Amino acid sequence: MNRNQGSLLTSIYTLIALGITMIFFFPLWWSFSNSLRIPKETFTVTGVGIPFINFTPTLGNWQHQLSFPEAHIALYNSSFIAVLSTALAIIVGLPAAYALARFRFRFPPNKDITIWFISQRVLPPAAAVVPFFVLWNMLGIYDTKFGMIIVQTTFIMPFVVVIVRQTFLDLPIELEEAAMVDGATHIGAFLKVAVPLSIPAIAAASLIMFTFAWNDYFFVSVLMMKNFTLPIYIAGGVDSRGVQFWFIAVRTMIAVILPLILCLLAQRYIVRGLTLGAVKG
Amino acid sequence: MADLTIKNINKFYDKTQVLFDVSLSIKDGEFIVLVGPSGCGKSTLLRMIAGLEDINSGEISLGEKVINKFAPRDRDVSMVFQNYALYPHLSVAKNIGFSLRMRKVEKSVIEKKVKDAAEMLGLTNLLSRLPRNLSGGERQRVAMGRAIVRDPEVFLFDEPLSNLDAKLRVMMRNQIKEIHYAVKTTTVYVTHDQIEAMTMADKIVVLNGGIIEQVGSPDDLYDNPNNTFVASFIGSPSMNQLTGKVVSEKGKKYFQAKDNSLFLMPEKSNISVGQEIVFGFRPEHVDINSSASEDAITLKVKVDQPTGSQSLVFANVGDEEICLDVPKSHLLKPGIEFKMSPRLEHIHIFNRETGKRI
Repeated sequence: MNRNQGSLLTSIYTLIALGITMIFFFPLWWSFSNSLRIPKETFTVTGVGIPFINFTPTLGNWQHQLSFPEAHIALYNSSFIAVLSTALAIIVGLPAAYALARFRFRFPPNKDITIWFISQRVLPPAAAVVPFFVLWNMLGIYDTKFGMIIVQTTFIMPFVVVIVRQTFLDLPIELEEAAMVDGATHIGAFLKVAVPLSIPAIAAASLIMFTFAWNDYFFVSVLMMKNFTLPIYIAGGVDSRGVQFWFIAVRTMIAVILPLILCLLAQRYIVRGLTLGAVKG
Repeated sequence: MADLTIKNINKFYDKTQVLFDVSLSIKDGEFIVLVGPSGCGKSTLLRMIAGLEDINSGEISLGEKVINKFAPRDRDVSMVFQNYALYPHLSVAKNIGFSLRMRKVEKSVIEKKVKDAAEMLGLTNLLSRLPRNLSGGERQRVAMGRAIVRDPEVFLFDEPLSNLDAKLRVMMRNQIKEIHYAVKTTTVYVTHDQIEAMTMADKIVVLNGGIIEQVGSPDDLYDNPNNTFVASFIGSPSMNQLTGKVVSEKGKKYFQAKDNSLFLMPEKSNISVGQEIVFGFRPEHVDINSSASEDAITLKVKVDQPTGSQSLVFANVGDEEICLDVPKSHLLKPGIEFKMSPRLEHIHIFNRETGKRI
């Protein structure tokens, strides 16, 4: 195959990929476009709904929604729960990941412990929610942000354990040994050498965990009442007059912004390979 | 400052024993090289001294203190790793000062000590760089800086030069020796390279299969190897070893090789006629042609390898190959026949079965 044929094929693949992306991206675009329309234009605008071309945009929906106290509560609760459960998962999960990478357990063996962590993700949430409901009522943490943080942490922690464990395994063990000979405790070697070198993996895992906690609808719908989060708030855009697409569109946009910013911030950590130059290479 | 004593150490990985009852005493300020083929347990022994490896039985003590239950950080040893193990996220200065920061030394003191160490190793211009921006030799020097900045009781080196190219290796050998002369800290150095061992050590410990074969000065090991293993491991090219038996002729004792050629043996009362032995002599300890003795044997050159002023000549005695290191002026080229006799005072005789020196 000559070079021209190659670049032609590449162009074709790129076009196909772009087409597929546009199909998946369309609902998001439609939400964005709709958030700028007046309610009666929801289904009347022709074309793909490009502002200024297909319709005259307005910020009315945004103004209405942003002045609504419920929007603030939802945004605050979502951020609070997602950030803290991600942080908690890292604090609890990192030592677990390290222990699985560096120590050998006999009973149960490392492999089984790792699989047990993964099984927390595989477990259908529906099977876990009833016990949680009963337990949370007994403990008096039903409908509290604290209770929700514990639930979210339970289900997102496997990510940090599995992802960062692999990174710890790939780190040359000599680095930690050198730190220990140099005067660090084992915990010191973990905190001062292993963790800083795993930041790309930790960032990647955090992003995934944050997104899962942020997006969760099911547990919040069952285990919370007055303390709702963004997904519940979005779904709440239905009233006796029908579905308020224009409000739902704005709420969706609000829900997308924070993860998007985090993604952009974390990107440079995820791409950068920090271990370069540690050993011969 | 204190002596390092290792007493009856045994080590098992699962059920495989890798060190057998190893004992060693290292005097304060000595430069000890542990040498042996890969898998002989030399690195394991070093890591035990550092505290990175458990001991199944035995004792390691530094001076009066038994240190084998101490954590690595409480042993007052510093270690240079084979792959340098520099902290990739820290600058050269931070790498060198890491151990001092861990010990909560005052900032101004750290700065001064790092500067001194950097000066000693020629790293002053690189202090703000990250390890990934350094060459192999520079990384190696940073690793050494990290070890010497602490002024420990013992330096441990784990094959520190094996990742460098040949020229750099010779330079670093000198630098390590210079540093040792300057700081006079007890040093344990592991290598598989016998030339490194010969050139650097005060005392060499030859390990093989988890057993200490011989301990001695480089000259000692070269001149008086205890057994056939040490004889072939120390020296390059290694010692020629022929198998055969002792015969007597005209009142003199000769070594008879498998092809019946006879070599005159030095007078030794403890060797009896008929005994099966290994007859050893180093490639450089031979006389050729006109300078050869009257008992010389005649050989034919198989291959020659000129090395500059000398030439390595290979020939067969029966089916056993020997190597001779002779001046090039002898003009020994393939196919040429020549006379050769090993020098009597440099002949080594070993027991055929046990490999032990007789």
